[in-house]
Amino acid sequence: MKRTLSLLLALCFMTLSMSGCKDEGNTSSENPSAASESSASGEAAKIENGGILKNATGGKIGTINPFVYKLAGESEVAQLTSMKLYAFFPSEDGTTFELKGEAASEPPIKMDEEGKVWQIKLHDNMKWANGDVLNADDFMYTWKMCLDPVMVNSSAGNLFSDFINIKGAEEYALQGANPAAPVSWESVGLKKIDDLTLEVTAMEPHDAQEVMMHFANVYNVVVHDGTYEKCMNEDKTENLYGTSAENYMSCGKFILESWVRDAEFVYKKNPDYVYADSIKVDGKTTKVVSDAGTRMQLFEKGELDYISLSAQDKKKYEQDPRTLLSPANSVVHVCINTVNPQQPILANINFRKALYYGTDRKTIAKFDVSKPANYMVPTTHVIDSTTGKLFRDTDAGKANIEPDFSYNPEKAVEYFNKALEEEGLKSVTIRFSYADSETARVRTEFLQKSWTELFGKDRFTLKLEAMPTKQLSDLRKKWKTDPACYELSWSSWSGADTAPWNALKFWKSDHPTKNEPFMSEEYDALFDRANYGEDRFQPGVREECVAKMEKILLDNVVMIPVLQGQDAILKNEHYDLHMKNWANKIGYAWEFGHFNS
Amino acid sequence: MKIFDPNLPEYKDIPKEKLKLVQMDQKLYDAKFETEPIGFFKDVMLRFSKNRASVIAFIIICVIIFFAVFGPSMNKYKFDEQFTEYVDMPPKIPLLAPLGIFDGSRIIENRRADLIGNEEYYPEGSVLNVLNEREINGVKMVDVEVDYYKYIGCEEVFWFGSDYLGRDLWTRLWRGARVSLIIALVSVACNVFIGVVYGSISGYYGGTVDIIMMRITEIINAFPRIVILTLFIMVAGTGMFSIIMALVIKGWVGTARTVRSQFFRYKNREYVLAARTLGVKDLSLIFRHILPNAIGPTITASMIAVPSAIFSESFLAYIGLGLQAPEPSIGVLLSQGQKVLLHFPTQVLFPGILISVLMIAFNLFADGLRDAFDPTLRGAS
Amino acid sequence: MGKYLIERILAMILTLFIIMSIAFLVVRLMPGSVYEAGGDVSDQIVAALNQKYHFDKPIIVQYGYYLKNIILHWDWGVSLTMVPNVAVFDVLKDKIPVTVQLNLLSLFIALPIGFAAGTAAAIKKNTIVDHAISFMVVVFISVPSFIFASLLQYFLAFKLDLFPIIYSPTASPGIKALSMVLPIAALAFGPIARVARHLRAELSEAMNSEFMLLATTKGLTYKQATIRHAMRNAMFPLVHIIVPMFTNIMGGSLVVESIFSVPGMGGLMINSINANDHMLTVAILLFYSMISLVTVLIVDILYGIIDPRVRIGGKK
Repeated sequence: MKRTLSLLLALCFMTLSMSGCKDEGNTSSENPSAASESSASGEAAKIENGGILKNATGGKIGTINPFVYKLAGESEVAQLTSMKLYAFFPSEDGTTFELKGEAASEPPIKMDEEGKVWQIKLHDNMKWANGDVLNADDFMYTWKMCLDPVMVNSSAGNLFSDFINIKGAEEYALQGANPAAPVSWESVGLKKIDDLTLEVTAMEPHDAQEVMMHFANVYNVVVHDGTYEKCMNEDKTENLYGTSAENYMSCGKFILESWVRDAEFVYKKNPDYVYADSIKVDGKTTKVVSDAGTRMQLFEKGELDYISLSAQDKKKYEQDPRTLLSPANSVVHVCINTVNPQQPILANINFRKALYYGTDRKTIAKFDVSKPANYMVPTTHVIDSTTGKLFRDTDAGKANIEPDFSYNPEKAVEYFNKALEEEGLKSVTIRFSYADSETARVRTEFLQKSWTELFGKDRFTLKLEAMPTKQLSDLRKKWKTDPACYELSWSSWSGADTAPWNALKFWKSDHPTKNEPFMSEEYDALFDRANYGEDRFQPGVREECVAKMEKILLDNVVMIPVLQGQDAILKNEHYDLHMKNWANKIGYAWEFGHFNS
Repeated sequence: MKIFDPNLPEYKDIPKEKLKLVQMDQKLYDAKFETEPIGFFKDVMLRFSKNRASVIAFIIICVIIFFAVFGPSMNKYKFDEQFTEYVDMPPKIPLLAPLGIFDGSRIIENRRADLIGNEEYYPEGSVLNVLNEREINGVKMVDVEVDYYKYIGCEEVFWFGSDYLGRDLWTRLWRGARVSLIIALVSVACNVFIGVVYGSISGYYGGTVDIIMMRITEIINAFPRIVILTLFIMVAGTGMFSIIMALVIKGWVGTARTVRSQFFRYKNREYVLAARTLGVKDLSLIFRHILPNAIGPTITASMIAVPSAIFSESFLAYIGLGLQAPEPSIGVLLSQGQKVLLHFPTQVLFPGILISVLMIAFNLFADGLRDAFDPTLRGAS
Repeated sequence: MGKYLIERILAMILTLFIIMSIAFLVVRLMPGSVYEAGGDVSDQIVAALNQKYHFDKPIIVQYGYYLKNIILHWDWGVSLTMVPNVAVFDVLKDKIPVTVQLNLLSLFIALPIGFAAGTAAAIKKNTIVDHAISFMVVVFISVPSFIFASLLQYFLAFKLDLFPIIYSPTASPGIKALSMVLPIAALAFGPIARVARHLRAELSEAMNSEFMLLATTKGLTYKQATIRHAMRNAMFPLVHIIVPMFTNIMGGSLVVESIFSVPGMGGLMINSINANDHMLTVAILLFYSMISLVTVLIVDILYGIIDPRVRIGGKK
């Protein structure tokens, strides 16, 4: 027995020492950053212009390969460390955002009459972190790999089903691994003219703003050809690019120095970055901390410069001058499955109106300090990105909003009685599916109680059903094949906040991933006019279309808008922001700030 | 007393025929026991009642069950009644308030110093104490201890405070205890039944039967509970039934293993051999002769399994696969409390104490039962 | 013994195969698909991706592809949503060392304490020492681990500033070691309590048995008898408790790892199920299954070695 025990112990020590070795290897390569981190925590304030910006994130990051990532956190890392042709930057005065070239040196040049062919000039002397030249070839390589028909990347669609549809891109990308009639790369409307000039050919006419906006989206980050090739597997079907710091090459604002999965990202400032002067800090560390309480403690100890607050902490730091608010880019709403054969009452407009007017938005919003919303276009959406005018501030936008956040119990009960009468029902039982998150549960439990009290216990029952987020979002979209899949559920779409007319695509008849079975020719016509119509650039046209589209959604109670989220961020007093206020696209532009002395 | 002797003069003249033996026509019996016979379970009871800690534990369990049944109706609130104006209230127990605990006060942090005294923010008499004055970004900040009920303007009295929707936590705690106990007891009962039958067969027959049966348990055991649960929830919907089933699917394996190992220990004992030689049938050997040896460990294990089933349920709640809202359970309350542990510690305190007390009580109760059941101790002491 | 071992290992492989098959079917039949159209991912791309990974085929055909890849190329598939494109066992390989390191250290601390506490309680049965230890054991078992972990973090790290708040894998070795103290402590409570509890029970049973009487009768001191005879006998049943502790360390603790932000195995399975990362889920299931099978095997073998009275799988 002694022998077995000692054997066991020896085995354990072996594993231990082995794992120890591995970790030591890590630390030695990251020693400089670790040293600077420990010194920075207390003395960051003393370093003038410089210092390491430290924050924490709750979300885990799987990959920073721009062709496959889906999460906001993942694209944030890529945008910090790589470049796009165009990008959003804080304006000089720090009040708003500015769309300008990042790798591109100037706005695109229109090459034909209609606006289908555009040329993009690149900055000179751009470099990758390893010293390789970054020029038009890299962008061509990126596009080619993005559309690779063998690899099939989830973000390939951004080149043929976004703002701009590149000519021939869809045919090329979707031809499959062994096509009968191969589509050549040359037929795709993405060309290199010379080392510093690219030419793109779109299917539809556009203006320069749209082209810039398109190439500023998160999927259009450039990848390094050498590293990408190295990460390819033998069959060229899988690629490890962006899954570790070694399998990645930086060229953006910061260089990714180390990445310990699910623990920490360490960046240092990139001196060769095009706008290196605008970055005042020496580097940035992002810790991955999933527990909100732990994040809070790290902040209060001064180990983080800013954190986003949980619903509870929002209340706790309500009066704190360090608290910054940032509105969410979406309206949380209740989706309604109007084609559910088991619940024909959901197709009854009066019933939907009863729910719409019976929703106490103010109280729901109070639970997590968000803003009640009885509209569908969020307050953040800009109708005219040249002036920065918000849609909700326009007269047309204001006209769509009813008073009291559309909470009207008498009206609700009236509609409810009418609906029951029309359907010939004595009582109704509805199922509400929600994702098992804290916020969703609070909201749903409140609706359950308040609707039941409003309409009467004997006449209205709301059954709750919790499920994992991913499964729920699958379920919501299944109504086409399985109409009985869901009855009511939560959803929120975040569309392009600089193009509200495009952000309303989620209710278009032919949108592939609709939650609500809503079809309207009138709506589609308005959408097409605002997005593709010839008169769309004329002043007021888009504003009018957006307002009309929103009105259709609200009048038909396609869904029940409930609230617009609002994040709160707590900022260390030692760090000064470049931005004076929150702005679309860039938020508070954290990387552009500096430590005060 | 006189003893008959034929030689004595007074008996001389008695003819021999007149004498006869008293018990001639009767059979002789042993004297009957004056005391009552003590059966197995009575013996167990006696032994158990001697163990003071276990008896106290049993009483505690009874008290908790009493509260689980009647607690929710002890005040006027219903478990799903929401007071959305009064969310996250601190506990206020009028009886204990003079002692300075559970008096409905709370320290609210990070308030602006210049608002103290402003009746709009702090109703008259609500501020008890101002602490920790400091300056942030040039603004004076303080922490304020307030009578939270006055601060909010709440007329209700929540003994254990209220939760994120302003629901009374006293009512929810006991309702939750009821739900948790039902889940635990039902699932443990199922586990024991299946486990005993399965383990007996496997352990008694051994050899190939055992190998095959143990393979099956290994396969079942190899599936993590979360997978089984997720599947169950998808098929049966969230709720008590699916949680109980999920606890049963894997839970009986443990009992089966204990019973099996007891069988291995006892099946080759001489008394079993003797019984078999006497022609006792397999079934009778299993259930009459060997299984009683397994009762002790099984009872102990299943009593410990009750609180650990409550724990499992709370783990499920922690990962978001718990009961259907608004139904509370101890697990649901714990996992909600955990999220605000550092903000409102009392929301964890009460369910935490309850689950700990349940755990302690069931453990002590189980210990007592095991000692009482243990056949090797029978007759000793 | 050798023959028995080979039999058991073959049986284990068969069991693993059955588990793999069931796991594959179950996971693939769970509602929700790996790829989901939405936002910027169009239906056509989803169709193309499903075709690439054969998700458009019937489930049996998919299983065929899966087996084929394993047999021909030893290719267990790649993670698709959690760590896209990375081979599934590489994902695990990243996570296991951290978890194993923390848990092993915590076991090495917990076991001696558990042994000491259990022995003390058994020897001083029904004294104040015993009651104190029993109380500690019950508290350790009955208070949920997140409360312990949160309180340790709040008081020792945040309030008293004795340790770093979170585990810091990239800090200098000294700070890193310091940052491991709290998670190790939080992980140790459970094992301490379980070992102490079982050892107390077994030891007090052993001390009441006849061989102890014999031992003292033949002249051994109380101490000698306890250590040489009672302890040894009490240790056998503990194999059941301790071996799984050693093998379970690879599982990680969801709660402790999330509170101290340890990049370990803890939440991996739940996350991968929730993310519908099917191939990764199957791989994790297999990994855990293998651990539990190996555990059972080790326990059985150890039992056979140390306690000759138990004959493995003996017939009736």
